[in-house]
Amino acid sequence: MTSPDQHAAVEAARVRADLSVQQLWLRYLALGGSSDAFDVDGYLQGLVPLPGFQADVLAQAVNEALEELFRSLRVPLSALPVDDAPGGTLQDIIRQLLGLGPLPPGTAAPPSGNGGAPPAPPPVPLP
Amino acid sequence: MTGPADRPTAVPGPSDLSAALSQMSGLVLSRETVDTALELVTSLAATATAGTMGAAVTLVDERGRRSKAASNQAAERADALQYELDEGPCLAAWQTRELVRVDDTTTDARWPRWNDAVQVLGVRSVLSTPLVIGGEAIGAMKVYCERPMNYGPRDEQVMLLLADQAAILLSNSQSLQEARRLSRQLTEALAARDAIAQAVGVLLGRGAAGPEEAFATLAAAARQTNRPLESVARALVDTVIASPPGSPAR
Repeated sequence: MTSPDQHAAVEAARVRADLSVQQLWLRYLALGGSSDAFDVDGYLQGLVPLPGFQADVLAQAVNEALEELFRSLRVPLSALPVDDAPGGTLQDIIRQLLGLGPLPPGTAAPPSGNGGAPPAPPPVPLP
Repeated sequence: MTGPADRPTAVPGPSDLSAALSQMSGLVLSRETVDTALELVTSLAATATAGTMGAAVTLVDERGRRSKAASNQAAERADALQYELDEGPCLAAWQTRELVRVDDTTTDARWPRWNDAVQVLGVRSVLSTPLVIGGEAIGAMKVYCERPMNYGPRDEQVMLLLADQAAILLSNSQSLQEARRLSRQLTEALAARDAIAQAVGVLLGRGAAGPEEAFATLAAAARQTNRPLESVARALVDTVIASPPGSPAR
């Protein structure tokens, strides 16, 4: 995931998502990043490296911002609910991560957001 | 206060002005919001210039957002018209960073559309000063009068003096507001960070090799479900809390 050019990609995404360095740093902090804003700024400009994991957290932060931007621009269809995040799928994945069995049918399962609709489409890469 | 009610058209003497200025510096300590500051500056501009029918202040922050205050509807409308028509003395004052005076809107040829539009509101003369701090224009302050030729060099001087102080005040108020916003964002960021750290802890307890791997697992789940990592982390912690301690197969 990390590559020599990752900083340039993150910087380009930051500009695309219309985030200031400060705002991006806050998002990165919220995700558990531990480098300070000065280092992040330096990294974005290609001046200092970030440890691989920190760079990944930063990439996750900027990706989420792009995702939000993308979602806010989506045009809702009249027939389908706008929110296509499938509650049931998330629950399944989490139970899998936790080593819990699947929810027995009929228990207080979270309402599955879109019933039989296809799973959420993958995010479309922004140009 | 400068006593606007009893002598609305009097030219303020030096004592009025110094009272106004000291009131503004006091405000930095006692009250804080940009709105309060805007209102104060607006009313000071209205009372400090003779014959003023209405005053208004517009602030533009670094992201281009405007906040404004006007002492009455006519002034508010005269301001709004400038932005609608994209021309007028205050926009010019802000762009050129120089004081702009209109002696008569019926003869002034610089902003014909705006001049025509404000005559309906009864505006005949205008004085507008930019609010400049640290070489940067942060907005404009203006007074409107229903008589032509109302403002002269004396009013220009008063407005320039007021504008200097008002710019400092408004800029400080904005910084304070910015600091509050940042503090709120930081609190939210830390709450998200807590949730993620808890989820990472849970995954470590379930055999993840290390915090970095746990984070990668969460990130993968976030990508799969098209959700922010924070919401996956919260859902995970909620699931753990909801599951009875001896629940099946770990």
